[in-house]
Amino acid sequence: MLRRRFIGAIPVLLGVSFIVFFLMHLAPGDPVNLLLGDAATEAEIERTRREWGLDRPLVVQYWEFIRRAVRGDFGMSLRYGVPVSTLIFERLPATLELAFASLFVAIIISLPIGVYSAIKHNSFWDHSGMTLAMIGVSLPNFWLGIMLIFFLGGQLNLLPVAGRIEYGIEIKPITHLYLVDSLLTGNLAALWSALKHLLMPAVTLGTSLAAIVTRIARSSVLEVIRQDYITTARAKGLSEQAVIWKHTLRNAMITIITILGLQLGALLAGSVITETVFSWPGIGGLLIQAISTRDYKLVQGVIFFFAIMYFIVNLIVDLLYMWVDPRIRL
Amino acid sequence: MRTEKRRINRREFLKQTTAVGLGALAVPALARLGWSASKDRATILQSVAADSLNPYAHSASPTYGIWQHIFDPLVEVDYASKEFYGVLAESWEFQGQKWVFRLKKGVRFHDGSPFTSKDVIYSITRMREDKRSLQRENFREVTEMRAPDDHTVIITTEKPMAVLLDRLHNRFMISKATADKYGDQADAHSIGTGPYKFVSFVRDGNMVMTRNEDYWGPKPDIKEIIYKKVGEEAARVAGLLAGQGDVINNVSVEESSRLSQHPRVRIEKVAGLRMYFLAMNAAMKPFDNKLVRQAISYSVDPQAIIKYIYDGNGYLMDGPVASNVIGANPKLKRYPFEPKKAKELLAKAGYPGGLEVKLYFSPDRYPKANEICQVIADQLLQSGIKADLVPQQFVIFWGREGVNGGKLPFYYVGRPAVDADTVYDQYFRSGVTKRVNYKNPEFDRLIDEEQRTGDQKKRAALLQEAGRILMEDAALVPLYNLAEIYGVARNVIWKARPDEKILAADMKIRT
Repeated sequence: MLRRRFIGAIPVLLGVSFIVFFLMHLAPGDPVNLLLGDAATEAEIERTRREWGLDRPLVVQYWEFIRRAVRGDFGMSLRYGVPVSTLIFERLPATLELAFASLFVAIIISLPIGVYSAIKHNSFWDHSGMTLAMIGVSLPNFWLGIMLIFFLGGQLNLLPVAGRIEYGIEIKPITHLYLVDSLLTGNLAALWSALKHLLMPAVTLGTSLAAIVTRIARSSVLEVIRQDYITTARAKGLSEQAVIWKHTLRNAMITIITILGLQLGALLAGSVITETVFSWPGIGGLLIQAISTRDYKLVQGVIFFFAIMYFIVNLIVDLLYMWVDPRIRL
Repeated sequence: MRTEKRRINRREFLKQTTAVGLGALAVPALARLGWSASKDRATILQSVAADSLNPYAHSASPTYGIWQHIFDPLVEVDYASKEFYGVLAESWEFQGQKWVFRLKKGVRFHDGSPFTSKDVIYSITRMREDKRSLQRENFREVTEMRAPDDHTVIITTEKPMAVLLDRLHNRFMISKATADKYGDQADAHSIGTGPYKFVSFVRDGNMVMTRNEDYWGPKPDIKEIIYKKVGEEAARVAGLLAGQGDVINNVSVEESSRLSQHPRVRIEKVAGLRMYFLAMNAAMKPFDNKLVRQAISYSVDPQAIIKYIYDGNGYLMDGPVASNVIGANPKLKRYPFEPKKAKELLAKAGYPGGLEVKLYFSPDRYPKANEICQVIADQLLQSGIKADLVPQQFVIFWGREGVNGGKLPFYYVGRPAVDADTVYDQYFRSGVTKRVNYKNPEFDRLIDEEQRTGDQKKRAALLQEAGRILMEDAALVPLYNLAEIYGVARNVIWKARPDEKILAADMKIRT
């Protein structure tokens, strides 16, 4: 199965690169003028365009891109002047950290509420749970983020308003994920600082995610709980705990994992708004900057990278299905 | 029975999580004192940061401000007297096609090596040849550089180039020895002659510098400087109020009144160098007609914009450049707001029934451009000119299909300048850019002459005359320059500069 999946990914990646390349180059706007700013005189524009190879025919530029990309070389970013892969790997840890932290926040909020709401279907708890979910899904990320910054940052000075870690705290880089590295090296000061910086962005992102997952969790548990095999399980005298944990949840998990997988894919593609609000140096912000400055190679590199990420996440989700539901393994 | 047990669990759970949550909130509250300004460290929350450690790969004033801690330029501007003064240059002499710079003696780089004329030549060569450099254009007319001794540099230009001082402003001197030693990796070892030494850099994160204890000039007061990129204004303001930052830039008019009432912070304001104007493309109808351009000049009243949109935080321009710019002509008067007169001129120009035009602008680049252009459109309407508003993303607005391709007939634009020459050269001199396609041989002649005139007073007089011509031709509709607004912790003594640079060497912290 794995081999088939990997071979199948090749045309997808090629297609993505082709579409992105031509869309970017056909979109109006010009990176060179923007880069040169006020000093963009005719002569200087021409010279820069030549130096960056932007005067060559598009097909030639695309071929050059593919030829290098297969070797893992995505070229240099026009704006930053460093290799695209360097920029992506600089930003990747921040994105991973935020993605998993918000997923964690989402799971610890949504699963208990969703499952409990389903079990106590139509009760006071159910209604309050669903109201909460409704509120969560309706709060725009930028608003929630700014409100958190305003109260927890500006007014109460409990949490830092921007960045990933306080200056002066050294972490020995192992995975470049600050939480993981500080745990591995037993550096509690770093762990504390990284947690403080991560809290507001993770809650901002996690809240809207939790709202969606709560509703999905509730409905899939509800669906399973009405199945005959649950009645059978109860009839044969299983404890309520066993019915919920072993029979209901495990079967309801398929839908929940699917939605979590999809959301994780989106989170790994960076969450532009949250990253911008909190000056979180992740990949989403990098992509937006790249698009708005028409930094062609950077856009191509980042999107290509996203395509690979989605592929990996989908693969993991499929493997998880097999683990959760033995019937799929057959 | 089982249900009962679960309920207790939930309560227990809630109790415990609340306790953990409160505990988590309480601890940083105790640590908050550690974040506020100390005498030893200033944290500057700025909306932009350096994209890389290449000191020449950028062209934005706030970024120049960051680099100016580590590196010194040859010359700097005294905004009060509108004159250049030497930083690393002791003196200079303009000799027609030659500039002779004498360098200060006894200046040393952070690694202890002496600063000499070889470093100047190396730095300028790199600015000209580095593919990443955004500062090449400044030296397009330089043909040769020589160092007869360690403290003299002779720069020869194609033709006499009096504006070289302006071109050298914000051009930082780096160490040739470092470049020789580290090759490609030299930028990672930022070694300059400046008042602060480089400590660390995280792209889009913190840039940290520490005081150069052996600085050749007056030693700065603050020991450590952290420049932190915080793009979002709300976060910068919150950070300042909480004491996580000591100075923030780009404060909006709305936030400025709130901040000025806060006990811990104050507002610092100065007339900025970015001047806003309406540009008209003289190669396109109807703007090829001087009468139409004059009619438009009579139809715009920037005072209303300053008063109602900027709450008074702007300065009316009476000529093509702001009054704080070298070469500004104090005798010029702008066209008054007289829609009646405008209508007469339009009729004379062959548009008795009025005009329809498109006004382009870029809201993602210029603050409040949407509101401003709506006001302008409304004012134009009073003269019978119907303006369609066309907002564009800056990358499109500024590109080949926009301003720099000469494709926009009429647009709202802002441009910072220390010396009127940069604006006149880039916008109005024939053949330099396609931005407005203004052609006037007399104006071109004045700019040629001004660029050749070493006597700064005479040069300023030529620039003033050139400015008068632009006004008479109504080549542009000057609007205003805006206030640069900063939020500053009350115990930080610092005065804002017009050029958007936040220099910690000028700062003191009261304890």
